[in-house]
Amino acid sequence: MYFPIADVTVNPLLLMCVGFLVGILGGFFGVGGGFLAGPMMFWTGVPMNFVVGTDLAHMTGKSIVAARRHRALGHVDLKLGSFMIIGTIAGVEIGARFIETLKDTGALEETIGVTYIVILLIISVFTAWESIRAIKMVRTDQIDAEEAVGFKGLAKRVQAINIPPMVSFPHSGIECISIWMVLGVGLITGVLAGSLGVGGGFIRMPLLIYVLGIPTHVAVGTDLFEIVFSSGFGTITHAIKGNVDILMALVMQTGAAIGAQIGATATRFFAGPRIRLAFSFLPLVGAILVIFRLINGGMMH
Amino acid sequence: MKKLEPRKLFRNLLIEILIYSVLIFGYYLLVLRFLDDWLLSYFQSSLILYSIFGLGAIIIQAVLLDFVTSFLMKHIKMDQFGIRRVLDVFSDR
Repeated sequence: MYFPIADVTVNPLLLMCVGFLVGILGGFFGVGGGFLAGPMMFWTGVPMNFVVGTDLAHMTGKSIVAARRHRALGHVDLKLGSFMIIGTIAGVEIGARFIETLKDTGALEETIGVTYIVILLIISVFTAWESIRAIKMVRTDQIDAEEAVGFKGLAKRVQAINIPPMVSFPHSGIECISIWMVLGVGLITGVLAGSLGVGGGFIRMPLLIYVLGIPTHVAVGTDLFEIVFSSGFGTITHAIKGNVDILMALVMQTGAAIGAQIGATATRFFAGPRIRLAFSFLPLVGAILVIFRLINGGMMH
Repeated sequence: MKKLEPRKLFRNLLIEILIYSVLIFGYYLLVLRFLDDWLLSYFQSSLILYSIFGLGAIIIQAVLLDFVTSFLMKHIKMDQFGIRRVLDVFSDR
């Protein structure tokens, strides 16, 4: 099929399959999946300047489907998500300005690439270690799999910080937490997302669980809720710059919608530690892809 | 729920995905194919309008597809067959 906006001919079935695969991952792990969809789209022949924008557009639609499904399952904390959005938007702006400063030094590509790889590897190793520990706790201590978290210390300390105003998130089981901690997590995610040029789902999801103490299923659903807004905002800004092929995004979304439904439904069948263990492989894949891009001298932005 | 052999489970899952694919292919033939001229004219005349209509189209399609997939999974009880059964095999809940 010929896509006149991107001026490229791509097999629509291939795009639907990419959407389907990324949809399953997104629905199950609460990530946008840009780190995987981007290289796949580029591989199908989509010009690089259209890859990021079009991916964000399809991510918006897919996240709507997955977030609605998670909401029906009771996995979305709307209040938490709304507070996080404020911090994230501010963070994205700071991250984008940081990039502009880095551009002047001429070491943008390497600095971002190496930072990205280090962050992804830390997330991957830490999540794998913690989830294996939690699975062992379920087996040996006979505790409920839903409550099993192998690393609770940080979340407890963060929840104990008493800087007003304090808020409660009953849906996530948090009685009292400083609003600054929630905004801070949103801000950190936003800065990383803005400076690394990614949606930030696989940074935000572990932060929600380990720093704020949000249950895994609610972290997945709330993350998707936030992705709807962040990727929607990204779609508009990229489309105004002429970097979005909406028709291509619509075709990809037809596959992603089915995948997102399957992924979101699948979370019902797995307890938190197993979801986190499976999730730990995603940042690893992301890190490998960035290493390849750096070796081949590809562009990060 | 009666247990099915793995081969049957995956066969059922494939049938479901096939039904989805037929529906989506019909949608592609009837709707998506004819949007290119309309979108291209906005892309060339006003990028602001293009971005607004584009995001609107994405949201509308997402809601429609969500309705269709939810309907299939609930009312035709697709979630009782392939996908549900395959998930049951790996479930730890």
